Amino acid sequence: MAAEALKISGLCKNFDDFCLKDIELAVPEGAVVGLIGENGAGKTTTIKAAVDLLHRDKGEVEFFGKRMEEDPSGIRKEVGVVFDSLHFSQGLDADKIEKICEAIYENWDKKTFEECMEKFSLPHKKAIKDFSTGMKMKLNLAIGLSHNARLLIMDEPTSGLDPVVRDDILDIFMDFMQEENHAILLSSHITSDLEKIADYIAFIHKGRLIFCMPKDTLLYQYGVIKCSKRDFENICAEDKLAWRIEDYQCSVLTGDRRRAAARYPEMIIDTPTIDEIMLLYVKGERK
Amino acid sequence: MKGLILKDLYNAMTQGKVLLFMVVIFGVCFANAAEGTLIIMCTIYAAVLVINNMALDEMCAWETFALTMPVTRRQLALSKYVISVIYAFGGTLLGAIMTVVLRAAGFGGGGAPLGSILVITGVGMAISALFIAVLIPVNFKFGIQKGRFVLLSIAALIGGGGVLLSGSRGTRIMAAIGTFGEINGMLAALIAAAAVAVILVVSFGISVKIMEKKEF
Repeated sequence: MAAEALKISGLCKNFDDFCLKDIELAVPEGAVVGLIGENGAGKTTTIKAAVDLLHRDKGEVEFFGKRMEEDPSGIRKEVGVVFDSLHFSQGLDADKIEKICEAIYENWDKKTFEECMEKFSLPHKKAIKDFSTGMKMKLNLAIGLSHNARLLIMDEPTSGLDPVVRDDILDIFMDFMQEENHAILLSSHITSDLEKIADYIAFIHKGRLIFCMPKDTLLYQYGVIKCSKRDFENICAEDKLAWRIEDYQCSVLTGDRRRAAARYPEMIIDTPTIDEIMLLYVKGERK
Repeated sequence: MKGLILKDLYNAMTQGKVLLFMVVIFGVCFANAAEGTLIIMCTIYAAVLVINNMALDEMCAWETFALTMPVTRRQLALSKYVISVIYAFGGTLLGAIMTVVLRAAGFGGGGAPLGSILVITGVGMAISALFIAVLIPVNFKFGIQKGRFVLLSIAALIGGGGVLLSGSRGTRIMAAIGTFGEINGMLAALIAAAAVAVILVVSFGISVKIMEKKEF
């Protein structure tokens, strides 16, 4: 079994109007874990609490088997965190940002940064206020990739980007994952991106982790039964993970598509998308 | 730490035109003022430039990103004090150069001796340090926008204190301090320097506490 690049156990964080409760999440080395959930579900809070930007009320977080308190500097050198925007002053250019990062990271890799800049066609001397959203995100990624990080934690890195740039960025993730001890935790609303690259899908809803499982299990074992209200009553409880009853049709998420097909041959059972699964959990009812 | 200082210097450089404009304004305004005034003004102005850095950091949420790098909250706090001191020395140097240039050009308040200019420079440094000691923790705690209101409140309190001290008791206290300073010049300077150092250390401690509690 692969070692864990990131392990979150029993993570709790309370706010006045929201709480993150007992989050259990692991990102194995060699894997991409996609973190999904609606706005305000707790994805960013989970990431921020994991990297100590928020103080945890309860729970443990381990990076490569070590708690952050044991070796904060060592861990941060090996973890690249990429947010949805570039956190540098808009008047700076890529060259100055590189010099700043080089002075902060002992393990800064100038060559990799140069390669990224060339590969992403980013200008060295242009102020970042004149960068497009895609260019800013690519520079963000170049920084994350240029200190030999083994784990990339990314919060909505592809949001607001057009499909071409998103595809470029997914290619970058694929390249990063060529090293078998690398890992990615990727929070995203764009589930089609996760369907392309994620190995595991973790779903957070209202501050709770609903599931974390291999993407293939979700897409190839799960199914969505489309049926009438009368047929809905005939579906066994064990075949109903979540359901949504609308005027003319019921959609039922089932954990075993083949078993459901055998049990309910008269019903239509579709392969689910991650969006459908998320919608059934968020907008439907659950057992 | 080096990276944090470098970042603040680069950020200050992006506002180079504004800074140059201010230097020219100071030169024009204080060309004929008593010698040392320009040095004091440049020192204080340069020291409080750290607020510009903090405003820029706040605008781009720099600290959120910085803390994902091998940077501690303590280092983030310390960097603001270090950059302020660098700015203050830079301001002093600039003020001194401008004073020399203006004197050579026939301006100036009439050839004050070097000793008194050094004393004035020390006073400028001390005032800057006091500004820094208040400004940095207040802005860490409240942010730049709210921080302004807090600073105005502090200024009002100090003003109120000044009014209270302007009575006969206050005058006696100030006169006693003045007399002590005249009799024990060096000792007074040392006590003042030590007091400023203590205030800065206490301010840094408060800033570290604020940063350690802060969530991003």
